[in-house]
Amino acid sequence: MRAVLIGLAGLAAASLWPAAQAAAAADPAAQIYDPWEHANRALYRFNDGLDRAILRPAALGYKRAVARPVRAGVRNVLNNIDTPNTLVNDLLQGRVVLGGQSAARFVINSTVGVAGIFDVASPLGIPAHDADFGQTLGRWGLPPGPFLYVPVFGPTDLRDGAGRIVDGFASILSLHDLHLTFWDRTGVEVVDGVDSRLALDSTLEEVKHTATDPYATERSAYLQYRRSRVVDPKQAVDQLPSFDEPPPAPAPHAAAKSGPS
Amino acid sequence: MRLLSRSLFTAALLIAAGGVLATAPSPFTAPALAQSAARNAGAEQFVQTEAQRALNILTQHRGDLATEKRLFRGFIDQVADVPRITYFVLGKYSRSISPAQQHEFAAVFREYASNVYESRLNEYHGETLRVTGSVARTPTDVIVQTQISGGKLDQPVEVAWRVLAEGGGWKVVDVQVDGVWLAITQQQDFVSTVDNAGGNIQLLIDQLKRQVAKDEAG
Repeated sequence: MRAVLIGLAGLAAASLWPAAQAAAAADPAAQIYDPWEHANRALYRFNDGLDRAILRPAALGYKRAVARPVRAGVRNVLNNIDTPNTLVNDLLQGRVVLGGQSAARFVINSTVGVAGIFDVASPLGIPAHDADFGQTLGRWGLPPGPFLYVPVFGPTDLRDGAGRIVDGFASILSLHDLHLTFWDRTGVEVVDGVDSRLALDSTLEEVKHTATDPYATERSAYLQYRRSRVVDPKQAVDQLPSFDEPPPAPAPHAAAKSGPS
Repeated sequence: MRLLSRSLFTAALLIAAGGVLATAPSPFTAPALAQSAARNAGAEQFVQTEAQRALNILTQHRGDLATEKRLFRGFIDQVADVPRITYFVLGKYSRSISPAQQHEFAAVFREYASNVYESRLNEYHGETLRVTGSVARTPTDVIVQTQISGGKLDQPVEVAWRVLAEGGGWKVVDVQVDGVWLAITQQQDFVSTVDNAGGNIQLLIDQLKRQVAKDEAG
């Protein structure tokens, strides 16, 4: 595990995130680092076909076949399975109070909540929150690195992609004492994926229907969302773009082509 | 994929309705923000008052979509700084657009943006909005934090509103849900579209016109 961590951290650190990007944050475009855009767009198109053919039909089939309360129970169980990893990352980030909440949620929901089926901790005033290893690396100061679009999993970046791999190893499903097979764990991942795709359905359909560049829109939303989980809130507010001072004009070669075609 | 969350078009409606759709909670941002800088009571009052007006329109005219749409267009013109947003979403291309194209873009963007939120007006289920704090970037540029709850929401949702002082009052220029700012996302969508058209803004305008025509036909 240690070797994996060091390797992944080195990979992300070597991703040549330009230092100037942080300074130029007042221009939202400066917060996008997508040197592999051509390949990413190809993967996005491939994923779109896969989504039309398999992923979305599977999600909608799940919605039709499984009653809403049962789906809510399944989501609660999946969230509960993630909670120990959330706790570990809370602590790695030095967030002791949140870590206490994660521990309490796991104990209460695993017992009173019947193996996590019912989220009884939230009504008790212990709300859910997310924490993952990509976020932890970010809070430790590791930049996101290049944006990536991974079929099935969707938008990510080098840091969060690495974080996801570590989260997979760190999941309680990987505990030796549970004696789960590869296929058991894969089954849980598939249900998680189908349920997540269903939860995102209306948003993704809206993006595909209304965005003039759906890839750019998903990339923007993903990077902003993850940044909000990593960057100090005060700093994030200070770095918002001006509404009165637009970014510099496009490069002359692009501007020369502008105008009606 | 879960990480993308339900943000973008929730935000589109929120800019109009004061928050009405389900979205994942954002536990880290709002409380910390509220504690970190000076609050602005005037901006907070503005958001609370106007959100209530939006919710009143939805409550009083439920089922009458034509009236809701008409009232909301008037409401948006009053509370949002539409010209500033229109300029902002063009990003770097706002410096190179011709006056004629600027006029054409403003007209089609208004229709496009209205169609986005109007298609969701019937998804209001009695949610309510409460201001939880604010952060003043400058005395005339304030982020107001709110929490939306009730209705069909399992958990309260944190939503931030960026408001700018103007003419003795305030105007909304952007809305953030789950860390995602709507106008910034829109800017990156449009700028990428124009980038990929070799800097030709007219292609974006034409694409938006086709989108509007499709929405109005469908």
